[in-house]
Amino acid sequence: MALLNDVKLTGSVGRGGRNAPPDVTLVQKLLGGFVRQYKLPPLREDGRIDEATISAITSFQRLVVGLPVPDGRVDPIGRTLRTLIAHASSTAGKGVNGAAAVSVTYANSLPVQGRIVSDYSFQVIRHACALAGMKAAVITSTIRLPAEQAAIMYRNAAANLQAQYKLYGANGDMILDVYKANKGKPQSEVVEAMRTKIEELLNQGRFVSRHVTTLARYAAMNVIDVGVNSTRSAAGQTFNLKALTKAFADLHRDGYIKTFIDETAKSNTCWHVEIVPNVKPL
Amino acid sequence: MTGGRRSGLFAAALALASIASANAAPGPCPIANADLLPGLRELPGRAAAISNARTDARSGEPVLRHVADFASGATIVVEQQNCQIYNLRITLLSPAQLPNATELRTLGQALALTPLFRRHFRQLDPGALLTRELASPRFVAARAAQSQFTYGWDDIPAVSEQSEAVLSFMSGTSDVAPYRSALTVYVSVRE
Repeated sequence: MALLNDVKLTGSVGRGGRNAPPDVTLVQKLLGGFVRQYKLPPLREDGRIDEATISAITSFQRLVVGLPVPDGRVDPIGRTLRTLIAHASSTAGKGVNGAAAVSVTYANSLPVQGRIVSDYSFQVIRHACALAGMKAAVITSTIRLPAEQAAIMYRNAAANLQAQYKLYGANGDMILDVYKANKGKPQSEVVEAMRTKIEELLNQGRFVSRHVTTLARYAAMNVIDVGVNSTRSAAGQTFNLKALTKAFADLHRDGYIKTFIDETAKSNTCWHVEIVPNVKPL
Repeated sequence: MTGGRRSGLFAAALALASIASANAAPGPCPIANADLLPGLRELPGRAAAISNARTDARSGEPVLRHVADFASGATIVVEQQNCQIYNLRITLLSPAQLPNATELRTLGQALALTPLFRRHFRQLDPGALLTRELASPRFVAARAAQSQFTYGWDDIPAVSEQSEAVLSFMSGTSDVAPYRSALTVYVSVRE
Protein backbone atom coordinates (compact mmCIF):
# COMPACT_ATOMS: atom_id res chain seq x y z
CA MET A 1 0.00 0.00 0.00
CA ALA A 2 3.04 2.24 0.00
CA LEU A 3 2.50 3.28 -3.62
CA LEU A 4 -1.19 4.08 -3.48
CA ASN A 5 -0.72 7.16 -5.65
CA ASP A 6 0.38 4.89 -8.49
CA VAL A 7 -2.60 2.54 -8.30
CA LYS A 8 -4.09 1.88 -11.75
CA LEU A 9 -6.66 -0.56 -13.08
CA THR A 10 -6.45 -1.92 -16.62
CA GLY A 11 -10.19 -2.53 -16.65
CA SER A 12 -13.29 -2.40 -14.52
CA VAL A 13 -13.78 -4.67 -11.52
CA GLY A 14 -17.07 -5.90 -10.11
CA ARG A 15 -20.54 -6.51 -11.45
CA GLY A 16 -20.39 -6.62 -15.26
CA GLY A 17 -16.70 -5.63 -15.23
CA ARG A 18 -13.78 -7.03 -17.18
CA ASN A 19 -12.42 -8.50 -13.94
CA ALA A 20 -8.84 -9.19 -14.97
CA PRO A 21 -7.30 -11.14 -12.06
CA PRO A 22 -4.55 -8.55 -11.26
CA ASP A 23 -7.21 -5.80 -11.15
CA VAL A 24 -9.48 -7.89 -8.95
CA THR A 25 -6.63 -8.62 -6.56
CA LEU A 26 -5.82 -4.93 -6.34
CA VAL A 27 -9.42 -3.97 -5.54
CA GLN A 28 -9.67 -6.77 -2.98
CA LYS A 29 -6.53 -5.42 -1.28
CA LEU A 30 -7.84 -1.85 -1.39
CA LEU A 31 -11.11 -3.00 0.19
CA GLY A 32 -9.30 -4.73 3.05
CA GLY A 33 -9.45 -1.84 5.50
CA PHE A 34 -13.05 -1.11 4.66
CA VAL A 35 -14.31 -4.67 5.22
CA ARG A 36 -12.46 -4.82 8.55
CA GLN A 37 -13.85 -1.47 9.60
CA TYR A 38 -17.44 -2.41 8.79
CA LYS A 39 -17.11 -6.03 9.92
CA LEU A 40 -17.96 -7.41 6.50
CA PRO A 41 -16.86 -10.92 5.52
CA PRO A 42 -13.11 -10.88 4.80
CA LEU A 43 -12.16 -10.99 1.12
CA ARG A 44 -9.86 -13.54 -0.44
CA GLU A 45 -7.15 -11.65 -2.30
CA ASP A 46 -7.02 -14.28 -5.05
CA GLY A 47 -7.91 -12.27 -8.13
CA ARG A 48 -11.24 -14.05 -8.62
CA ILE A 49 -14.37 -11.98 -8.68
CA ASP A 50 -17.02 -13.36 -6.33
CA GLU A 51 -20.19 -12.28 -4.56
CA ALA A 52 -18.25 -11.21 -1.44
CA THR A 53 -16.10 -8.79 -3.47
CA ILE A 54 -19.07 -7.37 -5.39
CA SER A 55 -21.01 -7.01 -2.15
CA ALA A 56 -18.05 -5.20 -0.54
CA ILE A 57 -17.79 -2.82 -3.53
CA THR A 58 -21.53 -2.13 -3.31
CA SER A 59 -21.33 -1.47 0.44
CA PHE A 60 -18.31 0.77 -0.04
CA GLN A 61 -20.15 2.80 -2.69
CA ARG A 62 -23.16 3.18 -0.44
CA LEU A 63 -21.42 3.85 2.90
CA VAL A 64 -18.25 5.69 1.91
CA VAL A 65 -18.70 7.08 -1.60
CA GLY A 66 -22.31 7.97 -0.85
CA LEU A 67 -23.83 6.69 -4.08
CA PRO A 68 -27.62 6.44 -3.76
CA VAL A 69 -27.72 3.59 -6.31
CA PRO A 70 -24.44 1.63 -6.13
CA ASP A 71 -23.57 -0.34 -9.26
CA GLY A 72 -21.09 -2.70 -7.59
CA ARG A 73 -18.31 -1.90 -10.04
CA VAL A 74 -14.97 -0.08 -9.81
CA ASP A 75 -14.00 1.62 -13.06
CA PRO A 76 -10.41 2.58 -13.97
CA ILE A 77 -11.33 6.26 -14.08
CA GLY A 78 -14.10 6.82 -11.61
CA ARG A 79 -15.16 8.18 -8.25
CA THR A 80 -15.26 4.79 -6.58
CA LEU A 81 -11.61 4.06 -7.37
CA ARG A 82 -10.48 7.52 -6.25
CA THR A 83 -12.38 7.19 -2.98
CA LEU A 84 -11.14 3.67 -2.51
CA ILE A 85 -7.52 4.79 -2.84
CA ALA A 86 -8.05 7.67 -0.42
CA HIS A 87 -9.81 5.41 2.07
CA ALA A 88 -7.15 2.73 1.81
CA SER A 89 -4.47 5.38 2.36
CA SER A 90 -6.13 6.52 5.56
CA THR A 91 -6.67 3.03 6.94
CA ALA A 92 -3.40 1.44 5.92
CA GLY A 93 -1.34 0.37 8.92
CA LYS A 94 1.75 2.45 9.56
CA GLY A 95 4.38 2.58 12.25
CA VAL A 96 3.86 -0.64 14.14
CA ASN A 97 4.58 -3.92 12.42
CA GLY A 98 1.45 -5.98 12.04
CA ALA A 99 -1.05 -3.17 12.65
CA ALA A 100 -2.45 -3.50 9.14
CA ALA A 101 -3.22 -7.15 9.76
CA VAL A 102 -5.25 -6.43 12.88
CA SER A 103 -9.00 -6.61 12.53
CA VAL A 104 -10.90 -3.96 14.47
CA THR A 105 -14.64 -4.27 14.04
CA TYR A 106 -17.90 -3.12 15.52
CA ALA A 107 -19.93 -5.47 17.67
CA ASN A 108 -23.02 -6.79 15.91
CA SER A 109 -25.14 -5.24 18.65
CA LEU A 110 -23.86 -1.72 17.94
CA PRO A 111 -26.46 0.24 15.98
CA VAL A 112 -25.49 1.52 12.54
CA GLN A 113 -25.79 5.15 13.69
CA GLY A 114 -23.11 4.43 16.29
CA ARG A 115 -20.60 3.20 13.70
CA ILE A 116 -18.95 6.57 13.28
CA VAL A 117 -15.51 6.01 14.73
CA SER A 118 -12.83 7.78 12.70
CA ASP A 119 -10.24 5.93 10.63
CA TYR A 120 -7.58 7.44 12.88
CA SER A 121 -9.14 5.90 15.98
CA PHE A 122 -9.30 2.55 14.22
CA GLN A 123 -5.61 2.90 13.50
CA VAL A 124 -4.83 3.68 17.13
CA ILE A 125 -6.73 0.60 18.30
CA ARG A 126 -4.99 -1.51 15.64
CA HIS A 127 -1.66 -0.24 16.89
CA ALA A 128 -2.59 -1.15 20.45
CA CYS A 129 -3.52 -4.66 19.31
CA ALA A 130 -0.31 -4.98 17.32
CA LEU A 131 1.73 -3.88 20.34
CA ALA A 132 -0.11 -6.50 22.39
CA GLY A 133 0.40 -9.19 19.76
CA MET A 134 -3.34 -9.51 19.21
CA LYS A 135 -5.06 -10.00 15.89
CA ALA A 136 -8.45 -8.43 16.64
CA ALA A 137 -10.47 -6.10 18.81
CA VAL A 138 -14.19 -5.31 18.93
CA ILE A 139 -15.76 -1.91 19.54
CA THR A 140 -18.83 -2.39 21.68
CA SER A 141 -19.92 1.16 22.50
CA THR A 142 -19.49 4.60 20.97
CA ILE A 143 -21.83 7.59 21.03
CA ARG A 144 -25.04 8.01 22.98
CA LEU A 145 -26.97 11.02 21.81
CA PRO A 146 -28.49 13.41 24.35
CA ALA A 147 -32.00 12.42 23.26
CA GLU A 148 -31.21 8.76 23.96
CA GLN A 149 -29.73 9.59 27.35
CA ALA A 150 -32.76 11.73 28.21
CA ALA A 151 -35.11 8.87 27.32
CA ILE A 152 -33.11 6.42 29.45
CA MET A 153 -33.00 8.78 32.41
CA TYR A 154 -36.70 9.54 32.09
CA ARG A 155 -37.56 5.84 32.21
CA ASN A 156 -35.33 5.21 35.21
CA ALA A 157 -36.46 8.33 37.04
CA ALA A 158 -40.10 7.36 36.55
CA ALA A 159 -39.35 4.01 38.17
CA ASN A 160 -37.43 5.34 41.18
CA LEU A 161 -36.29 8.94 41.26
CA GLN A 162 -34.48 8.80 44.58
CA ALA A 163 -32.42 5.80 43.50
CA GLN A 164 -31.37 7.71 40.39
CA TYR A 165 -30.28 10.71 42.44
CA LYS A 166 -28.02 8.33 44.32
CA LEU A 167 -26.43 7.03 41.13
CA TYR A 168 -25.60 10.34 39.50
CA GLY A 169 -23.27 13.18 40.37
CA ALA A 170 -24.13 16.85 40.16
CA ASN A 171 -24.51 16.87 36.37
CA GLY A 172 -26.90 13.94 36.34
CA ASP A 173 -28.79 15.39 39.28
CA MET A 174 -29.48 18.53 37.27
CA ILE A 175 -31.13 16.42 34.57
CA LEU A 176 -33.16 14.63 37.21
CA ASP A 177 -34.20 18.01 38.62
CA VAL A 178 -35.68 18.80 35.19
CA TYR A 179 -37.62 15.54 35.34
CA LYS A 180 -38.84 16.32 38.85
CA ALA A 181 -39.96 19.83 37.94
CA ASN A 182 -41.84 18.69 34.83
CA LYS A 183 -43.03 15.18 35.56
CA GLY A 184 -46.72 16.12 35.36
CA LYS A 185 -46.31 17.03 31.71
CA PRO A 186 -46.47 14.66 28.71
CA GLN A 187 -43.47 12.35 28.47
CA SER A 188 -42.27 13.80 25.17
CA GLU A 189 -42.13 17.30 26.66
CA VAL A 190 -40.22 16.14 29.72
CA VAL A 191 -37.72 14.14 27.67
CA GLU A 192 -37.19 17.13 25.41
CA ALA A 193 -36.56 19.39 28.40
CA MET A 194 -34.09 16.85 29.78
CA ARG A 195 -32.35 16.63 26.41
CA THR A 196 -32.04 20.41 26.29
CA LYS A 197 -30.46 20.42 29.75
CA ILE A 198 -27.99 17.71 28.75
CA GLU A 199 -26.89 19.76 25.75
CA GLU A 200 -26.66 22.90 27.88
CA LEU A 201 -24.29 21.07 30.23
CA LEU A 202 -22.30 19.69 27.30
CA ASN A 203 -21.68 23.26 26.22
CA GLN A 204 -19.99 23.80 29.59
CA GLY A 205 -17.87 20.69 29.12
CA ARG A 206 -20.03 18.77 31.62
CA PHE A 207 -21.55 15.37 30.93
CA VAL A 208 -23.62 12.71 32.65
CA SER A 209 -21.70 9.91 31.00
CA ARG A 210 -18.59 10.14 28.87
CA HIS A 211 -20.44 8.46 25.98
CA VAL A 212 -23.19 11.09 25.90
CA THR A 213 -22.34 13.71 23.33
CA THR A 214 -23.50 15.28 20.09
CA LEU A 215 -22.43 14.15 16.62
CA ALA A 216 -20.35 17.29 16.17
CA ARG A 217 -18.55 16.77 19.46
CA TYR A 218 -18.05 13.10 18.69
CA ALA A 219 -16.25 13.99 15.49
CA ALA A 220 -13.77 15.97 17.57
CA MET A 221 -13.45 13.35 20.30
CA ASN A 222 -14.17 9.68 19.63
CA VAL A 223 -15.38 7.94 22.79
CA ILE A 224 -14.98 4.19 22.43
CA ASP A 225 -15.40 1.07 24.51
CA VAL A 226 -13.47 -1.96 23.36
CA GLY A 227 -15.29 -4.89 24.93
CA VAL A 228 -13.25 -7.51 26.73
CA ASN A 229 -15.50 -10.48 26.03
CA SER A 230 -16.15 -9.64 22.37
CA THR A 231 -12.45 -9.02 21.83
CA ARG A 232 -11.52 -12.25 23.56
CA SER A 233 -13.83 -14.08 21.18
CA ALA A 234 -12.50 -12.29 18.07
CA ALA A 235 -8.83 -12.47 18.97
CA GLY A 236 -8.87 -16.13 19.91
CA GLN A 237 -5.54 -17.43 21.15
CA THR A 238 -3.84 -14.08 20.61
CA PHE A 239 -6.02 -12.47 23.30
CA ASN A 240 -3.93 -10.95 26.07
CA LEU A 241 -5.77 -8.73 28.54
CA LYS A 242 -2.72 -7.46 30.37
CA ALA A 243 -0.79 -6.73 27.19
CA LEU A 244 -3.63 -4.79 25.57
CA THR A 245 -4.22 -2.84 28.78
CA LYS A 246 -0.56 -1.90 28.82
CA ALA A 247 -0.63 -0.99 25.12
CA PHE A 248 -3.58 1.36 25.64
CA ALA A 249 -1.84 2.88 28.67
CA ASP A 250 1.34 3.38 26.63
CA LEU A 251 -0.56 5.04 23.76
CA HIS A 252 -2.27 7.25 26.34
CA ARG A 253 1.09 8.21 27.83
CA ASP A 254 2.43 8.96 24.36
CA GLY A 255 -0.46 11.25 23.47
CA TYR A 256 -2.37 9.13 20.95
CA ILE A 257 -5.18 8.50 23.41
CA LYS A 258 -6.48 11.46 25.41
CA THR A 259 -8.25 9.47 28.08
CA PHE A 260 -7.87 5.82 28.96
CA ILE A 261 -9.93 4.13 31.64
CA ASP A 262 -9.24 0.52 32.43
CA GLU A 263 -12.67 -0.90 33.10
CA THR A 264 -11.72 -4.49 32.44
CA ALA A 265 -12.33 -5.44 36.05
CA LYS A 266 -15.63 -3.56 36.27
CA SER A 267 -19.12 -4.67 35.41
CA ASN A 268 -19.02 -3.29 31.86
CA THR A 269 -15.68 -5.10 31.24
CA CYS A 270 -14.10 -2.89 28.61
CA TRP A 271 -11.19 -0.67 27.73
CA HIS A 272 -12.57 2.86 27.53
CA VAL A 273 -10.57 5.14 25.26
CA GLU A 274 -11.13 8.70 24.10
CA ILE A 275 -9.25 9.72 20.98
CA VAL A 276 -8.91 13.08 19.26
CA PRO A 277 -8.77 12.17 15.55
CA ASN A 278 -5.45 13.02 13.90
CA VAL A 279 -4.04 14.53 17.08
CA LYS A 280 -0.64 13.03 16.31
CA PRO A 281 0.72 11.22 13.26
CA LEU A 282 0.93 7.48 13.72
CA MET B 1 -24.89 36.88 39.38
CA THR B 2 -27.05 39.20 41.46
CA GLY B 3 -25.92 40.98 44.60
CA GLY B 4 -28.69 39.21 46.52
CA ARG B 5 -27.46 35.77 45.49
CA ARG B 6 -23.92 36.66 46.37
CA SER B 7 -24.90 37.97 49.78
CA GLY B 8 -26.92 34.81 50.33
CA LEU B 9 -23.91 32.67 49.59
CA PHE B 10 -21.67 34.50 51.99
CA ALA B 11 -24.34 34.70 54.66
CA ALA B 12 -24.84 30.98 54.42
CA ALA B 13 -21.13 30.44 54.78
CA LEU B 14 -21.02 32.66 57.82
CA ALA B 15 -23.95 30.88 59.36
CA LEU B 16 -21.84 27.73 59.39
CA ALA B 17 -19.78 29.30 62.13
CA SER B 18 -22.62 28.46 64.50
CA ILE B 19 -22.52 24.78 63.65
CA ALA B 20 -21.05 22.90 66.53
CA SER B 21 -21.67 19.21 66.30
CA ALA B 22 -21.70 16.29 63.90
CA ASN B 23 -24.54 13.79 63.79
CA ALA B 24 -24.35 10.19 62.72
CA ALA B 25 -25.04 9.63 59.01
CA PRO B 26 -28.27 7.66 58.48
CA GLY B 27 -28.65 4.59 56.31
CA PRO B 28 -26.18 2.05 55.00
CA CYS B 29 -23.87 3.28 52.24
CA PRO B 30 -21.05 1.32 50.61
CA ILE B 31 -18.96 4.48 50.49
CA ALA B 32 -18.84 6.31 53.80
CA ASN B 33 -18.19 9.93 54.58
CA ALA B 34 -15.02 10.44 56.58
CA ASP B 35 -14.30 12.62 59.58
CA LEU B 36 -11.77 15.16 58.29
CA LEU B 37 -11.57 17.28 61.43
CA PRO B 38 -8.17 16.03 62.64
CA GLY B 39 -6.58 16.63 59.25
CA LEU B 40 -8.22 20.00 58.70
CA ARG B 41 -7.07 21.21 62.13
CA GLU B 42 -3.49 20.43 61.17
CA LEU B 43 -3.56 22.54 58.03
CA PRO B 44 -1.23 25.55 58.12
CA GLY B 45 -2.73 28.92 59.00
CA ARG B 46 -4.25 28.24 62.39
CA ALA B 47 -7.34 26.46 61.14
CA ALA B 48 -10.35 26.08 63.39
CA ALA B 49 -12.65 23.37 62.11
CA ILE B 50 -16.15 22.17 62.82
CA SER B 51 -18.52 19.73 61.16
CA ASN B 52 -22.18 19.02 60.74
CA ALA B 53 -24.17 16.14 59.26
CA ARG B 54 -27.48 16.17 57.47
CA THR B 55 -29.41 14.17 54.90
CA ASP B 56 -29.86 15.25 51.29
CA ALA B 57 -33.56 15.70 50.70
CA ARG B 58 -33.56 14.45 47.09
CA SER B 59 -31.46 11.33 47.39
CA GLY B 60 -31.53 10.47 51.09
CA GLU B 61 -27.72 10.39 51.00
CA PRO B 62 -25.86 11.41 54.14
CA VAL B 63 -24.04 14.73 53.83
CA LEU B 64 -21.11 15.57 56.04
CA ARG B 65 -19.92 19.15 55.90
CA HIS B 66 -16.70 20.41 57.42
CA VAL B 67 -15.82 24.06 57.76
CA ALA B 68 -12.25 25.17 58.37
CA ASP B 69 -11.60 28.81 59.16
CA PHE B 70 -8.16 30.39 58.82
CA ALA B 71 -6.37 33.32 60.39
CA SER B 72 -6.01 34.89 56.94
CA GLY B 73 -9.77 35.33 56.79
CA ALA B 74 -10.29 32.51 54.30
CA THR B 75 -12.66 29.63 54.91
CA ILE B 76 -12.75 26.19 53.33
CA VAL B 77 -15.96 24.19 53.20
CA VAL B 78 -15.67 20.48 52.43
CA GLU B 79 -18.87 18.61 51.74
CA GLN B 80 -18.94 14.85 51.28
CA GLN B 81 -22.09 13.16 50.01
CA ASN B 82 -20.77 9.65 49.56
CA CYS B 83 -23.03 6.65 49.31
CA GLN B 84 -23.42 4.64 46.08
CA ILE B 85 -20.90 6.98 44.45
CA TYR B 86 -18.27 9.41 45.64
CA ASN B 87 -19.58 12.97 45.78
CA LEU B 88 -17.27 15.73 46.90
CA ARG B 89 -17.59 19.49 46.75
CA ILE B 90 -15.05 21.79 48.28
CA THR B 91 -15.23 25.56 48.34
CA LEU B 92 -12.63 28.16 49.17
CA LEU B 93 -14.14 31.41 50.39
CA SER B 94 -11.50 34.09 50.11
CA PRO B 95 -11.41 37.71 51.31
CA ALA B 96 -9.76 38.52 47.96
CA GLN B 97 -11.41 38.66 44.58
CA LEU B 98 -8.98 36.00 43.43
CA PRO B 99 -7.53 33.40 45.82
CA ASN B 100 -3.80 33.69 46.39
CA ALA B 101 -1.20 30.95 46.07
CA THR B 102 -1.21 30.13 49.79
CA GLU B 103 -4.98 29.73 49.84
CA LEU B 104 -4.90 27.50 46.75
CA ARG B 105 -2.17 25.37 48.30
CA THR B 106 -4.25 24.97 51.45
CA LEU B 107 -7.31 24.11 49.37
CA GLY B 108 -5.22 21.45 47.65
CA GLN B 109 -4.13 20.07 51.02
CA ALA B 110 -7.75 19.90 52.14
CA LEU B 111 -8.69 18.05 48.94
CA ALA B 112 -5.91 15.57 49.52
CA LEU B 113 -7.43 14.67 52.90
CA THR B 114 -10.67 13.36 51.41
CA PRO B 115 -11.36 9.65 50.88
CA LEU B 116 -11.99 10.28 47.18
CA PHE B 117 -8.61 11.87 46.57
CA ARG B 118 -6.82 9.39 48.80
CA ARG B 119 -8.32 6.52 46.84
CA HIS B 120 -8.23 7.76 43.25
CA PHE B 121 -6.06 10.85 42.95
CA ARG B 122 -3.16 10.19 45.26
CA GLN B 123 -0.75 10.90 42.40
CA LEU B 124 -2.11 14.41 41.85
CA ASP B 125 -0.93 17.64 43.43
CA PRO B 126 -4.30 19.41 43.63
CA GLY B 127 -2.79 22.67 44.89
CA ALA B 128 -0.52 22.87 41.86
CA LEU B 129 -3.40 21.92 39.56
CA LEU B 130 -5.55 24.70 41.00
CA THR B 131 -2.76 27.26 40.74
CA ARG B 132 -2.22 26.32 37.11
CA GLU B 133 -5.94 26.34 36.36
CA LEU B 134 -6.47 29.84 37.76
CA ALA B 135 -3.71 31.08 35.46
CA SER B 136 -5.04 29.19 32.45
CA PRO B 137 -6.43 31.04 29.41
CA ARG B 138 -9.81 29.35 29.95
CA PHE B 139 -10.14 30.60 33.54
CA VAL B 140 -8.73 34.05 32.81
CA ALA B 141 -11.07 34.53 29.84
CA ALA B 142 -14.11 33.32 31.76
CA ARG B 143 -13.29 35.61 34.69
CA ALA B 144 -12.89 38.59 32.39
CA ALA B 145 -16.30 37.92 30.88
CA GLN B 146 -18.37 36.93 33.90
CA SER B 147 -18.41 37.25 37.67
CA GLN B 148 -19.74 33.70 37.96
CA PHE B 149 -19.01 30.68 35.78
CA THR B 150 -18.82 26.90 35.83
CA TYR B 151 -17.13 24.43 33.52
CA GLY B 152 -16.08 20.81 33.29
CA TRP B 153 -12.56 20.46 34.65
CA ASP B 154 -10.76 17.76 32.72
CA ASP B 155 -7.49 18.13 34.61
CA ILE B 156 -8.98 15.73 37.11
CA PRO B 157 -8.52 12.44 35.27
CA ALA B 158 -11.55 10.26 34.62
CA VAL B 159 -11.68 7.26 36.90
CA SER B 160 -14.73 5.68 35.31
CA GLU B 161 -17.20 6.43 32.56
CA GLN B 162 -19.37 8.12 35.17
CA SER B 163 -16.77 10.49 36.57
CA GLU B 164 -17.53 14.18 36.83
CA ALA B 165 -15.22 17.06 37.65
CA VAL B 166 -16.47 20.61 37.65
CA LEU B 167 -14.88 23.91 38.59
CA SER B 168 -17.00 26.89 39.59
CA PHE B 169 -16.01 30.42 40.49
CA MET B 170 -17.79 33.56 41.57
CA SER B 171 -16.48 36.89 42.77
CA GLY B 172 -17.84 40.20 44.03
CA THR B 173 -16.70 43.57 45.26
CA SER B 174 -18.77 44.15 48.38
CA ASP B 175 -16.91 46.23 50.98
CA VAL B 176 -18.89 44.78 53.84
CA ALA B 177 -18.82 41.06 52.96
CA PRO B 178 -16.14 38.92 54.63
CA TYR B 179 -15.54 37.09 51.35
CA ARG B 180 -15.09 38.40 47.83
CA SER B 181 -14.66 35.16 45.95
CA ALA B 182 -15.78 31.56 46.10
CA LEU B 183 -13.92 28.84 44.22
CA THR B 184 -15.59 25.42 44.16
CA VAL B 185 -14.32 22.09 42.93
CA TYR B 186 -16.85 19.31 42.52
CA VAL B 187 -15.83 15.73 41.80
CA SER B 188 -17.96 12.60 41.64
CA VAL B 189 -16.94 9.07 40.77
CA ARG B 190 -19.10 6.03 40.24
CA GLU B 191 -16.69 3.13 40.49
